[in-house]
Amino acid sequence: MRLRRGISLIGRIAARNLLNIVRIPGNVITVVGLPVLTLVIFSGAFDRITTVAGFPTNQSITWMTPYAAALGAIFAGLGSAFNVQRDIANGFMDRLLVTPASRACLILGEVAGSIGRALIQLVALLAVAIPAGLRMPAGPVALVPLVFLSAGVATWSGLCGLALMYLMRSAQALGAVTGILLLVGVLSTGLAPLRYQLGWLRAVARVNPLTPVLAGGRQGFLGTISWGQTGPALLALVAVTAVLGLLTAFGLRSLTAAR
Amino acid sequence: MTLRMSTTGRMSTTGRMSTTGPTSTTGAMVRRSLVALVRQPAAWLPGVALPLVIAAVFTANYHSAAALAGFPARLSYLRYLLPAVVMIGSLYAGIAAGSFVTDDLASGFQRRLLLTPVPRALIVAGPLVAAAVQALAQGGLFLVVFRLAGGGWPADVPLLLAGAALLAVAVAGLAIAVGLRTGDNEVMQSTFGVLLIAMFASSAFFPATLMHGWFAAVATRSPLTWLADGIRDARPVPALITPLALAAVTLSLTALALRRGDAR
Repeated sequence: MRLRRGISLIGRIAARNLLNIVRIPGNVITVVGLPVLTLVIFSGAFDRITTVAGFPTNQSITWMTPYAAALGAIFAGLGSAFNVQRDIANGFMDRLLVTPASRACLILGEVAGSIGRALIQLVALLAVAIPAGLRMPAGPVALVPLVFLSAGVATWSGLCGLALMYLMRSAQALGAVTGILLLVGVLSTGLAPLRYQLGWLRAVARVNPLTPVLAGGRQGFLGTISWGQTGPALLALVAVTAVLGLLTAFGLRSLTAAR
Repeated sequence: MTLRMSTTGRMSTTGRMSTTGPTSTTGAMVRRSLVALVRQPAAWLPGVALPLVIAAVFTANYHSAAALAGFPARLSYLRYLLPAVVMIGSLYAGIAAGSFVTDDLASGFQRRLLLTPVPRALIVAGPLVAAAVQALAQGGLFLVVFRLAGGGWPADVPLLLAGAALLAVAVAGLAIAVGLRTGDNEVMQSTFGVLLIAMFASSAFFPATLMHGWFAAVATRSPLTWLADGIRDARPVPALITPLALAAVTLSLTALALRRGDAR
């Protein structure tokens, strides 16, 4: 009974998060427009970079689609941070905190909303990428790791945004959240493989948890799907989610104590 | 610095601003914008940091592009990127000017200015000059950083700086027009994203000759391609005429917004 109530609450918070996509017109641009634009712009502008000897694919859209999905998932999590910022500013969060709702449900509801946003983006992205010639040597099963990538990065981004919003409780925190998440996004193998990167970026990208997740999400588009790529991706997703989950729980406890 | 108005319509800053002399009025408006810029690092710091981060990340990823057939000879990718980095700084300087005017509109200061005998054109003169000055200062800093990073000097330094300043004025004109029209800082700031995307669809980051299909067609016809290539190849006509023409268009939009009374 308690579990069912918790799941229902998570669903309602997630639905409220998703409803904001249509209620706030600007959100349609960030949720659907930005990832598609990222894909079109990067694969168009840097198309010829894939002709450099040894590049894993000779088609930039194939290389860029998983990265655009990851960036889209980052924007999805940022959307949840914006929601929470609004809730804190207009007092809705205070009202939520005095209800008997479990704190975990409040967090999981927003995370589920972030995942929902990311999956909407992914559909929009694939609707552009597949007709544009996205290759899937592994067949349609290539989409499964991509869904995991999208949902996993949205979870990271959502948790990171919530943690910082709960801890800093101001609109200024949004700038910090955006900066941190975009840095994680660009200091990875999103634009080029590790061996083509200059030393300093290669060193950073190697320890960036997004790098194995991107490799896992890309595998079905570059060749076959293997545990050698999937294992490190899942490990990174679980480990970072656990750390960010603890940080978010700590943030919400600190917000509750301050109210 | 805050401008205060007396009931007689006179404004005073640290001293007094006479409404009779357009030169002193312009000076006061420009001074106010520059002081506000210097006092608010949030207004200029991203304009310095973002282009340098983009340069570092793109060079680290795409340095091998310089080996591609068709890439401009004798240019490293870092050197190729210099005009793009300066142009992003100019975009940011222009948006900062738009933000300044939009904030004035939101706080009601713009409305009080319109009640004074100050000519409307002078109301936006301050932010426009501040945008040009910011672009020049950023451009100088980027030149030094690129030189230290091994990017060398561009073919024509004064041309690069002049192009940067004119582009900043053009972008400021657009940003101010959008700010006056919408009165919404968030909407106004979204023009930065639109312009940044437009830069990707040009030869700013990658030669248009190495793109293909519709993207190459768009990039070849983009005014930002003419500007970036003009600066890169030290050709004064495209490097100066392009931003001048853009400025003429966007400043007309600003004038229209002022005349329509959007600032009220």
